[in-house]
Amino acid sequence: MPLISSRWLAAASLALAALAPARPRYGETLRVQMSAVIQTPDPAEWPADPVEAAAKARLISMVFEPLVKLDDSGRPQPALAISWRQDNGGRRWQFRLRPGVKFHDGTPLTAAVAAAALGARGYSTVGTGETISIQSEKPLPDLPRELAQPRNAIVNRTPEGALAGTGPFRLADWTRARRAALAAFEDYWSGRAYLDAVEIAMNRPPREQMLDIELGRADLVEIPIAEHRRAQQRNLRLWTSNPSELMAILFERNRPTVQDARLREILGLAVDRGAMHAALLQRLGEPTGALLPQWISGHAFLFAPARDLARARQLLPTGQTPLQLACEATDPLARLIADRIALNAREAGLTVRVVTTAAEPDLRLVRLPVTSANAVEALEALGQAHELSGEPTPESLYRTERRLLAEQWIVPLFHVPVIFGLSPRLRNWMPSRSGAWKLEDVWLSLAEKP
Amino acid sequence: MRFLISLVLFFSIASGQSLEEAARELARKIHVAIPSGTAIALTTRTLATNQAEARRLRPIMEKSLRGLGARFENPAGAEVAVTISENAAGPLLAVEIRRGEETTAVFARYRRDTERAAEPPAMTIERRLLLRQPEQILDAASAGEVLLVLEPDRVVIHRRGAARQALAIPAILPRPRDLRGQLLLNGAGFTAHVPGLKCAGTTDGGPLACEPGDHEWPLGNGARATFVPNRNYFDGALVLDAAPSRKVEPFYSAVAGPQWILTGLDGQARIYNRDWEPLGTVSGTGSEIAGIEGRCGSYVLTTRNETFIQALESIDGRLDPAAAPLDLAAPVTALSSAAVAITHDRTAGVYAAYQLTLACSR
Repeated sequence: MPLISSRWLAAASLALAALAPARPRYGETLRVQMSAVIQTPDPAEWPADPVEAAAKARLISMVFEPLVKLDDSGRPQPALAISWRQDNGGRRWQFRLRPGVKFHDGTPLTAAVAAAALGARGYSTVGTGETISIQSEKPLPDLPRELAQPRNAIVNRTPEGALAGTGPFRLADWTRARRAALAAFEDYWSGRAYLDAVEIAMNRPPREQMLDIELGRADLVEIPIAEHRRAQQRNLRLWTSNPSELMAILFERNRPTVQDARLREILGLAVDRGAMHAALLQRLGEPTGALLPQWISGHAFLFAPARDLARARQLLPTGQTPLQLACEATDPLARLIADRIALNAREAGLTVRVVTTAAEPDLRLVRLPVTSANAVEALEALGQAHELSGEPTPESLYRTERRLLAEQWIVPLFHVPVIFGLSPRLRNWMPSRSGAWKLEDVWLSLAEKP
Repeated sequence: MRFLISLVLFFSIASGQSLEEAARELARKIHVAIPSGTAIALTTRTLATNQAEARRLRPIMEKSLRGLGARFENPAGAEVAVTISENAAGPLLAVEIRRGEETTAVFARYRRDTERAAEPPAMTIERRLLLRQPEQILDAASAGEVLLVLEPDRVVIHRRGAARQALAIPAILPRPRDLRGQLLLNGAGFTAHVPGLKCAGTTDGGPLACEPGDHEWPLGNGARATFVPNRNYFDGALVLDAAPSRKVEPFYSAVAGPQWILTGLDGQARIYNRDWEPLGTVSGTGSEIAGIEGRCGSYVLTTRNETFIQALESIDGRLDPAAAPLDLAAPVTALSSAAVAITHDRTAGVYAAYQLTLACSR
């Protein structure tokens, strides 16, 4: 026998039991709660509300799949298409379908069905054999990224109006704006999910979600940032995403009261992000002057915001009309931040009134989900029209963001994470860096504690 | 996609721009952005926790800029702030150039060397990279100049100095999500098992003959067990060449050696002697277990803490650690009976196969 003696042996012996990974366990129902309300699972009916859109993207990506998906670095990867190529300067694209894929209703995925699904989304498509061709008069350099959006998922619609996808879960039941029940799709092309089912309760107040996970009545809930410290104190199991939501002040371009660029600049200079980050956000996320979070662009630190009250006061015009800042009435954190913004504005000599209901506010405090690691798509999700396409260089991305921020119609404040509370028995929780779920990989253990 | 395959057969390759190359690229971009002859004030910093890169960066930047004729003098006409940053695609060097009121930025991506050195204790687990590729690897086996790789849909034969050959495996659906497979080399022939399918072929690339059905998978020492395709475990019914068949608890994997060790669905490893008399039960070994034999003796390999391989010694119905764990730097997805470990780096999207051996002394 070889000579084996070292200090690590003792430590390794102690660690053996706790650290050895086990194979996944099949079965059980995952109980999920969310505060958002999703009206319909149909990818073709995409909500304008960014919060509902983000929740819907998380949910329906388990049911409906697009031809192409984006990886954690935002690069297009094969999904229902296994390869693609373009010619004629991006005016014609060909996507080769993955063989052997079935819809939840048993229908095979064919080029004709996929072409019809994308045709209904406004694309000019032809499906022949295993290939879908998409043509356009204008070049479509970004088509794979565009097709990766959940709204462009491939749906098989029956004449009766039923929707079938190809994802790891099928829709078992849908109660509008209240509840969704998903069941594992046994014939999923990438392997059956470990879970048998997923139950999703919508419109659940954050406090009730926290209570339910504490009492073992839920497996996956959302934790608002304002409740993060309390959740930690209660020893809840938490998962925090990369910063994936932008809190920002958005000026209403059609309001005459904010046409003076100096007013917008004053507010940007007056806001004390550091104090708000420490006191209100419990130091979660990052104060920012950038649209894209640092982890996506790598250059957000170059937009580091600096408070400059003296300069703000210098810019103050005479006879300023009080501005109305609207914030979401159901979001207590937003209300607190809006009040601080009003206070900071007053310090610069600007009058800002916080309202929760206003027909025509001058500016709004918004929370915009960053739903993709792809910089181009993330800018679109933030509602920022831009000229970027394909895979931009770091320089072109930087210049675009600088240009979008130059007129200060949007004043970024914070990039904040999304936080989920997880039950002790939930295993293999590996969402994307931006917080997108991958529930097909999740399983539930028998043990009460991890 | 197939053309993306980066084969690393018995040696590893580096790809992507290094920090040094990125710094030289940046120096060229800075040189273009600043009028010739402008004095520069250079600062470097890192947003990462690793300060070593920042210390390496400054002299490289200075040398590269000097090579392009830059002067570092006071007062400076341009402030050049180099920051080691990171974005979704990986590490990034970001440079902010300030000249009076004018600010511009230039960038360069690079690849970080993440290889870590292992400590050298008395007995060590050693690894040899067989293959690294974006396609999923279920198992791999090597002999001489031939490397066989089992993927979900094919067996790929790599032979030094020859084009690789891919033999398609028919698709059997539904598959378990954590797909498993077994590849056994036997001289010039091989057998591949995937759930619901058994295939036989030859290493010279002859046709692959596949039969569907719930086949018995060989465990070693003349024992076989039936694999349950949709639940990814063996049902516990053992067929033994030299003894009557017997039934044990369902299990995930087995080691056939001087003793039998089976990892159960309940997280317990059960140890039996040659006559299948129980010797003991050990908690927390995980699901993956494989035997390894060599000059050091017979040991058991298990996974630990996701990315580590641990060697254990079976003593009196216990499993005691026998060597320092080996960090494969990516989650281990499979351990085969031929002591091959498969890893999956989810961030990089790369699978790797390593041949593991034990070294008794150095």
